[in-house]
Amino acid sequence: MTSLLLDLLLGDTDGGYEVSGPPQRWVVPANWKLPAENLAGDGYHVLAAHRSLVELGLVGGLSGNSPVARAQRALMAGRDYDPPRVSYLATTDPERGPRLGDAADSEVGLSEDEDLEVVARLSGAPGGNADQLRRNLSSDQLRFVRRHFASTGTLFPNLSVIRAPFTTATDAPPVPSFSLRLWCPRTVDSTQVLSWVLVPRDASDEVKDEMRRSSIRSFGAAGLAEQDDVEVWSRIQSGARGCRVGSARIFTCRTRSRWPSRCRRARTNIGSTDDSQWNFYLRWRDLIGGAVR
Amino acid sequence: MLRIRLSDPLYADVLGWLIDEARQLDGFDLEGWLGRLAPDLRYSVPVSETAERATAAPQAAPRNSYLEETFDSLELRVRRLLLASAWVENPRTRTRRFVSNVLVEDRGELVRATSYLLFCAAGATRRPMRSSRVNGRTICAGEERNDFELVRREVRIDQAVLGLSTLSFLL
Repeated sequence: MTSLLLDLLLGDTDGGYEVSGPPQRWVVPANWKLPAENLAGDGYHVLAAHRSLVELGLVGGLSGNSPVARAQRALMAGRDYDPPRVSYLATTDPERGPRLGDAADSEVGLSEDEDLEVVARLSGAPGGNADQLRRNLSSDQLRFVRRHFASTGTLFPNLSVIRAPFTTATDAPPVPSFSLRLWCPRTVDSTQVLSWVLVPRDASDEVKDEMRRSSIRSFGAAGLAEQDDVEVWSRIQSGARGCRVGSARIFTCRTRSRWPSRCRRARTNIGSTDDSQWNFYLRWRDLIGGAVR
Repeated sequence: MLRIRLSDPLYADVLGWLIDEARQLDGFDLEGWLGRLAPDLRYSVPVSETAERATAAPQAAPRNSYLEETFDSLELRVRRLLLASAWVENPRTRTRRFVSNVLVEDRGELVRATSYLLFCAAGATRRPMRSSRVNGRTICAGEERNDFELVRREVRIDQAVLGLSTLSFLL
């Protein structure tokens, strides 16, 4: 299952991916598990934590029937794919919200091939079309990626990916971005982040530069989205020192998914619950051999 | 390229411009700061690396940065910072920028200033006071020598691992 997810993210081009220069490195005053679980699900934090991007019109709000608003509702609902406590992939959900094709274009009812073209464009596929996707992904993977846009995920325990198109102008089309990051524990309450930008090896220098800018403008030490995520992690960590935290319920779980899984050997969790994150902590607890006190 | 002496009035004008800019940013007058920027501005903060002397190659243009901005993207960044919902900057990070060691070079239409910037930042969460040194190159142009606008800025931070939890303010 892990290789299914990794191939979806990294095996969809002829020439593979390369890093664009050295990673960014910075230190976040939070335990490493906070960002790791944030990227293992948590689609529903977007509209609150990144409210400034909503107000700027870069991320759609929930209300209204525009393609962008419907895409945001899909993101909030989302699906987290949770293979046996190994890795997590958060995706947009085609059933509670529109299909990706509906979200990105105003026409309803795109064909599956047209859907694939939209995915190719948003994921930065070389050539801007789906030819390489068709060549490199299996029919199972193509069927999956047509219906979902795999945006973020965590490979347990501390390697995450972010693949999120971003725009810095309300009237400009989103530019694909692709970051890989490692959450390196330093102390119980600080983490060194290594953040690489990935670009398709075969892309032109101009496209690579565009994708790098899109990645670092959205996520990264100075990213418009990441800045507020870091603030939230820092405050959770500082709040976790408080005397009330032991008795607080901080997870919202639904232990039985209502949606059929589209991946064998993977559990599908609704994106608006914390099931994937809860399973992340259960897995960690099992590995360190301790029972919850 | 002509190195401008400290006794030259041009040097004083450039230094004054940099000091005023530092006060403007420390005072969170971001809209005022936008007024200093040329429409074709390029603004970058590349990633720094630490390499052993024996193996260190001459630094080629690094292909990763913390910031690679244009006027439009900086304008968007400022618009976001002014929103109350930019949670990281609400309350604001307290900063002090200390501009020093300024070298000024006259390049005809452009004036190039290279300076050290020491800045200290304290944020609302339990981030300790952090300071970082940068070596910044600022290139300004102006028809009148005392009226500059920022055409190009490159800031090299003296840390391979940023000592900040986030770079939410401008350098």
